[in-house]
Amino acid sequence: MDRNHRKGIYGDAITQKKDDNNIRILLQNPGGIGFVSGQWNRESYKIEKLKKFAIDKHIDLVGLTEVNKDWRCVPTENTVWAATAPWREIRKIQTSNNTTGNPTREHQIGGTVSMAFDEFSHSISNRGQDRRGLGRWSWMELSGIGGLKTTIITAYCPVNSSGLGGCYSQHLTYMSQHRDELESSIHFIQENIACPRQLFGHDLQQFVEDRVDNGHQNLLMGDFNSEYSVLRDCWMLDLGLLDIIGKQHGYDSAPRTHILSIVCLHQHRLAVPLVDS
Amino acid sequence: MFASAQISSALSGFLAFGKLDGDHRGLWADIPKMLLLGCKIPPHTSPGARRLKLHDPRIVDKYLTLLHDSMSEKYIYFRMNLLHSQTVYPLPEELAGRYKLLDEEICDCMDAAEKDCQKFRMGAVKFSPSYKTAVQTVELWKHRLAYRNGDDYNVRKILVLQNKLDMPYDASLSIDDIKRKLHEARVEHRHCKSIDESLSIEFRSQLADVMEAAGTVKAAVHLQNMNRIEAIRTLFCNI
Repeated sequence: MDRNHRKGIYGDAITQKKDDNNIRILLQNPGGIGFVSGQWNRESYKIEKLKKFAIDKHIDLVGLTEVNKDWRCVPTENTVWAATAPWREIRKIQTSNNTTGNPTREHQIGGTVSMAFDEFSHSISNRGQDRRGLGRWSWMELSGIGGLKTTIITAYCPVNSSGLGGCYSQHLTYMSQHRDELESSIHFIQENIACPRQLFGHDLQQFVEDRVDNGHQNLLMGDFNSEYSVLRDCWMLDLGLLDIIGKQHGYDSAPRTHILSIVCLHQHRLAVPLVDS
Repeated sequence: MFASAQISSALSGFLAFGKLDGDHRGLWADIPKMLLLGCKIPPHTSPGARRLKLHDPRIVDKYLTLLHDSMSEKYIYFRMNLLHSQTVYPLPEELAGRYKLLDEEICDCMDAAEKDCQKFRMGAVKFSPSYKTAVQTVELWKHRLAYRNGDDYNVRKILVLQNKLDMPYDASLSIDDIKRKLHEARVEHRHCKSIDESLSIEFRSQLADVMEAAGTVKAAVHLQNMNRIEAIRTLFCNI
C-alpha cells in the first residue's frame, strides 16, 4: 500500500498550485447540494466546503451530479448563480433538472450542474441540457483554435429505485406520458425501451455520436450508477471514449467511488444495463 | 471521466472520502489546454490590490503625512508657487516642461506614499498588532543570534526591527541570554497565535471606535463590515 492509498486517495495527490498550461476539472456527487444562498453567512456546510476546495485548488470546471434541486422553485437570491458570485471573478453555469412536470417544490432528485470559472469560461461557445428536459446531463461546448471543439458533459443516470419522487420514478412517469409520441417529436421513445436507464443510455449515445459526427472531441463525466468495468467495456468503448484516470493509473486497480450501502448493493443487482446487449 | 482517445490527463485521481461532503469521492483531472483547446490561453491576471483605502482614517492620515513629507523634502510646494507666479499666457515651452516635470515628481511622491501607507496582510492567522509584534520579536532575536554566532545576518534588518520594536541594542547580552530571549519570544508568539481570534476582535473593535469618531457611521456597523471582510479574507487567503 503506497502513501497515497494510506491517505485515502487514488492516483495523484491534487496539487495546491495548478499548472497554468492545464485545465483542472472536478466531478463530485454531493448527494444533494443542500441549501444554497448568495448571502455568505447563510451558506450550508456542503457548499462552503466545495467553495473552499474550488478556490484553493484553482478548479476551472466543476461538474456536480445528483444536485436534487428544481431551480424553477428556488428564489433568485438562493440560486447557484447567486451563490457562486463571490467564488471567482468570472463564471458560466449550466444546470439541468427535470422540467417536464410542473414545479412543485425545491427538492427534486437528480439534476446536474456544470460550472466554469475565470479565463476557461471564455472558451465556452455553447451550452445546454438534455433535449428531453429530464435533467440527465448538462453540457458545455469549448471552442479552441483551428475549429477544435470539445464538448464536456456532466451526466447523472438514475438508479433503479421504486421510491416515489425518485429520479427513476420521475423518468418512468415521463416515459408513460410520452409513449405515444410521433417519431418526429423530441419526446419520441422507441418501443423497445422500457427502462429510464435504457432511455438514458440511448439518448446519451445519440448525443455523443451526434457530437462526434460534427467533429467534436468529447469529455463525459458523471455518476452512471453502474459497475465500472461494465460501463467501461460495454458502453464507453462503443462511443470511442476512454477513462482518462484509468488510462493514467491503470484500469483494474481503481477503488470504488462511493460508499455502498446494503440498499445500494441491492439496487446495483437490479440495475438494468444502460443499453441493450 | 471518459474522454475521446486524443484527450489525456497530466495529473488525475480520486479524492479521499470526506474531502468533499457526501458519500462519493470527488474525481479530478488536470488536462492540458493544448488538448482541449488546441492552444495555451495566457494565465488570467487579477487586478492588483490598492494599499490606500479611504475607509480607514489612519491609513489616509499616514498617506497624507508621507506625501506631505516627501513633497516638502523635494521643495515641491515652493517650486509650484514659483511656477505659478511666473505663469503667463500663452505658456512658454520651458514653463510647460517644468510643469510636466513637477507633475511627474508629484506622481512619484504619491506612488511612494501609497506604497508605504499600508502593508498587505494574509489571512492565515487573524491580524492584530500584538501578533505582529510577537512575530517581529522572534525575527529580531533570530537575527541577533545569527549576528552573534557569525552566521548569515542582516544588520540593516536588525536595526529596522529594533526601531520598530523600540528595543535598543544591548551589546552585553551573551549567547545564552539571546537564546533565552528567543525562547521567550517564541512562547509569546505561540500564545498570540493561539488567541489570534480574540486579539483580532479587540483590534477591530478599537479600529471601529476610531472610525466612528472620524465619521458618521456607527462603530457596530463598521465592526460588522470588518468581520465580514476578515471572514472573506481568511477564506480566500489573499488580500
